[in-house]
Amino acid sequence: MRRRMVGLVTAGVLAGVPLASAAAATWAEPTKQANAGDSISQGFGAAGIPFDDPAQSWVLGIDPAVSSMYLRYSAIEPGFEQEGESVTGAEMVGGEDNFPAQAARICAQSPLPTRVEVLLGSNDVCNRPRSWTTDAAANLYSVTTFTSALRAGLDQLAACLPPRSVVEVLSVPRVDYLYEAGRAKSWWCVWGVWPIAGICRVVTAESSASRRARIGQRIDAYNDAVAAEIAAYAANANGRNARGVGFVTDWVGSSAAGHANTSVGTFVFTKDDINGTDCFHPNVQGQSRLACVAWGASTEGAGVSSACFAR
Amino acid sequence: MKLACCTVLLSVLTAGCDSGQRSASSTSRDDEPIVVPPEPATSPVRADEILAPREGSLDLADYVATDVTLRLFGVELGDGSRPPSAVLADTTTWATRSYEEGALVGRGWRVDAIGPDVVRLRSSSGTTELRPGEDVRLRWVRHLDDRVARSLGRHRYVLSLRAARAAEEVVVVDPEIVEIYGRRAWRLPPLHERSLLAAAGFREGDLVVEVNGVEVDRGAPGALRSALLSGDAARVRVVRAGVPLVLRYVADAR
Repeated sequence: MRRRMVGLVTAGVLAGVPLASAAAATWAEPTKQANAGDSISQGFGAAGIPFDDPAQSWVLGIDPAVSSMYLRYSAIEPGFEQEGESVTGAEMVGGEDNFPAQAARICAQSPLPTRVEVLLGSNDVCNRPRSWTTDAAANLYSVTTFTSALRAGLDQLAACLPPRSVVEVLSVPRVDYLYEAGRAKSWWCVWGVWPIAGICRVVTAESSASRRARIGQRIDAYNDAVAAEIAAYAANANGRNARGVGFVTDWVGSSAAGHANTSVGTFVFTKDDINGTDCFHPNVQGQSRLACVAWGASTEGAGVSSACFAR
Repeated sequence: MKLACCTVLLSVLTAGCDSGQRSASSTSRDDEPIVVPPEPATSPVRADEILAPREGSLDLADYVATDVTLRLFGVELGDGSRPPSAVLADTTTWATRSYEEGALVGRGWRVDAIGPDVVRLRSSSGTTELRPGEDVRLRWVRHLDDRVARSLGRHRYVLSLRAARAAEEVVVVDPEIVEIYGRRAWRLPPLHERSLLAAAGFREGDLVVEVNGVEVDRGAPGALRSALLSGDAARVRVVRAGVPLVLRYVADAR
């Protein structure tokens, strides 16, 4: 199998891998990708119609307007294949389609992929009940719980993927930023669709900006945990990646730490990045921005650039 | 303006416009046949293994046990409006469930105590403690009527007709009909854990749009119950948290 030398260290790799090992790494040829994800990866509502629309997905899409990971890999690797496992409604932690379950399905694929893209976590926040205490994040999963589920998935991928395959775990979007974008998008969503459909009520029913920000801070903490875990797997510092699978993430730090618009988790969505149907999912432009970030942070990318977020 | 938009969406919804999900061009997963994997092996249950029998049923022939490994993902202390809970995952399927203190884990174990970073489980033969990330191997004891639906993931279920018929009926005198994305929907009320709908994977707040391709009306509660108990495959289109899903059921007549 041909090996691809990685000459550049991306921002994402920097976040996850010690510089020396990353610079020297060679990765397996990108022959096939799989993904673990939720409705965002399913392209839900991207074209304004309330259905899954994988053709518009940042990872699975075939619409050139999105320039998905699939299309980007296909451009450099003829015959590149994909087999998605994302499920609308999935969480990192909860339910029957969580990250460990999707990772198990990826490991059951034949042939196995050499690239795996992961974007989960929004539903872990949106599916939790609102808190009635001063801590708006009190009912969200603890970072420990979130991390346990992440490890359960990463352990499986580290054990099953071909050596030198690459797993990219994207940071969790700030649903409080999506709320702001949706509010700017349409009064109809705020007063009609969100309450009727019960869309992410932990933030959309929360009138206090500071309490919504507190929920965002928990998401930042999840993302810090993602980066720490990815670093540990990438360097096999935890002894869980003896077969040398690559692990990268886009997360380099929170907006509060000065990293706004450097990753999915710090991407400040605007009304132009979300659809007008549920005012909470990325539209084609939003999906294309996610694809840009994901590609930049991948082992084939050249780093996440400001162009991904340019208005 | 919005109504016009919804009219367009209505026609799209009616057409069942689910997009392809596999590779670049394949058909919807919603149209794929459901392949039911074999059940994990079960074994007979001894009377002393049953910590809490199902009401009115002490016949050991109605109980089975499965060897499972559970992993504690973590402890959720919450906002105090409800008791702390432990998130446990079955490492065979990785399905998770939250358990409060005192909750049964199957019928052979009970969550005895939940601390900030430790959970104690108790059976008739002793106790075991779990910390986040740790596994415990145990025998999962259940009554045959306990499990109405076996989830296969991706919103697919194998429905046990026997258990479904034994589940509590959801009595809805005046179903709340709302409109979402230009379609009529029945908003599900709070569901008791042992109700047929909760046990079949529905949740409070789900907006039921279609049952076997038929749009809902005020008779939706009866239509849904009939579909689930019919013994035939069933497809229920719901909007959950704003996102349309198709819940699919195949019946296990045993």
